[in-house]
Amino acid sequence: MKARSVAYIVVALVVIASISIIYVDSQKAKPKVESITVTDDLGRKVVIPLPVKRIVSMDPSNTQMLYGIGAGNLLVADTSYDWWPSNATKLPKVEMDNGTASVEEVVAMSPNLVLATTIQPLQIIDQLQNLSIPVLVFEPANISQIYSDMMTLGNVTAHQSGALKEVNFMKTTIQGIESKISSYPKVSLLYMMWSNPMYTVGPGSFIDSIISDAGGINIADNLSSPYPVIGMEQVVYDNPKAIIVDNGTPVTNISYFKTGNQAPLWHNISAVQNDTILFLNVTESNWMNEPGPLTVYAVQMVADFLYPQAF
Amino acid sequence: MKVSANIFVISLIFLTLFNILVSLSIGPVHIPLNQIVSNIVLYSLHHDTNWTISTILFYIRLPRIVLAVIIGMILGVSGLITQTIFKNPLGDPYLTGVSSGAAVGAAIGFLVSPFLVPVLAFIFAMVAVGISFLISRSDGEVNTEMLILAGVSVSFLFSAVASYIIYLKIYNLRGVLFWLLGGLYGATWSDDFYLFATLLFIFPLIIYFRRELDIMLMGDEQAKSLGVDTGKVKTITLISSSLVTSIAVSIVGIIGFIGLVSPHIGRKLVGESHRFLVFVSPLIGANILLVADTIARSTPQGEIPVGIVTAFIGSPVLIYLLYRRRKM
Repeated sequence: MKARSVAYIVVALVVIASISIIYVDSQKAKPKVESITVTDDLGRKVVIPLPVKRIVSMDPSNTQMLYGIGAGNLLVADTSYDWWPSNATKLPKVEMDNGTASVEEVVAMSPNLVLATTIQPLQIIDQLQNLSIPVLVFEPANISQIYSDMMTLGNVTAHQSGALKEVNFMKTTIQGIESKISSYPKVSLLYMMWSNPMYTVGPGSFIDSIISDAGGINIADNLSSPYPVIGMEQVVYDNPKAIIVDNGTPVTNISYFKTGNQAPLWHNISAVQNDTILFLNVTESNWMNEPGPLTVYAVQMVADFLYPQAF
Repeated sequence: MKVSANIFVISLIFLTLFNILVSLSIGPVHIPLNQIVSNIVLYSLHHDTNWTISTILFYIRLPRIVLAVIIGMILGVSGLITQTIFKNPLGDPYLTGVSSGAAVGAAIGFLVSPFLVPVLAFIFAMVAVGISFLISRSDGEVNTEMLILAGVSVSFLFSAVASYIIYLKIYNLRGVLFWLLGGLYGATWSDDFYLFATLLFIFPLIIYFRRELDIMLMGDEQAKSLGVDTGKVKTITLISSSLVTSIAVSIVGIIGFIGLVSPHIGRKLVGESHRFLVFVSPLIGANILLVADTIARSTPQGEIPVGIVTAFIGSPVLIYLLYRRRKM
């Protein structure tokens, strides 16, 4: 009986002692965590503990910006949509079949930053934030927003000089293109994202900003929606001089305009008469649709197409 | 009563013609009225016209307007048949599984090749309808009560399949969301031709059966005692209306509310008798769809799905009718 009481007391003392040691230890070991607060493209203020060592990207556009500023080595997982650079295709994939993040798989990568676009549902972003994983949402609507997003990424990942270098390179390239085409009259253009109904890009969309940077006038600029369906009668009326057909539409070659069942509506349109129609391949479509360092290729491609005489 | 009903039919025909002219002058491209008139005159005299204006008027707007009228009439007739045969004021031509079957076909079509959408939508609509009819057959006759339940169950099943496909492949299915809410974009004169043929099939049929339909309003037992072969009438009219609805849906997608609202408005105007309803309900359908489509193709956001507009117009009308009935 006595021995038992002694044992209890000893155990209790040991427990108390170890708890206090751990407590004191933890007080001592807790370093002042440095953090940075940045605002993302949704206007969310996100606190990110530093240093950022492990990043998960939920969109090819995020991945490319990260590689563009020279911080690609921090990436630990991305999506199966990633294609550039080739290193990005070899990383673990953490999205579900519908393109949204698999929260469990993201958490399993123990990232200290997740990059996302507005494709990710807000619930998933909140869920990750609640698990103390900061999420930055980047949705640049034009090239200058790509610049500011890359600078933000540079600050967060301590790659400020890499970001500045890339942004300056992009700025110089775009200015070079603009100076070459500035003496020519602007060219009206129809961008087909889908044929029937005819989805196109309108004001506020990223592609619309590429078109205007490359010297084009988007005929859908009068519609008040970023991805509107444009009526055929407006196309007939505006008579675009150039047409770009995105990859993945049912329209894959000129025969749709020349001999398809809608051909009578198209045959007098100057883009069709002069064969000024550009069918994007997968890579070119990715340049147009994924804001990031490769956007300069998109601007160059559209400018080449609209002003072959300038280059 | 007879006289006033006749007047209603005639004035609805004139209203439709008037609506066609108004719709022809409205669109995203503003064409002044004098240009429209001069183009119509010159075009009909085979004179040279401004290509842009005449293409817009005669190859984009007019085929689409005609399509709206025909589809509106088909949905108006089918809705009337459905409500009468089911003796259910909520009857809608999609009740037997047409819309959800067509949605599955369309989703698969948009994945495989968008040019297959109409064919696949039609085939899957008929499959869904076929299953509903098979389930609800008893003693060689269609049991309408069973058919409603079978239609609802089959609809849920097919909707689930369609939703699953769309959810997984949303990136490849840009067109499908629009299609699900209906749209008359891309209407051509050949679409008009096929659908007019469809209308020529269903319209004489319902005129032929209009007396039987009147008698069947009194109940099956009464109708049978008056010598109506209710089984035959039900089977023929329901299968035909499902067939023509499937054809309409396969071309323009799922346009709601027309089939539901048109017969109700028709009954308010000319009463329960099918003698006039068979003309009034389709004409009302035509006018509603025409107005709705003119709005849908002329919004500042570009074109919006017409199903959104029909619901905006249809629901308040239906609510008003219910309110009036409550007060009476």
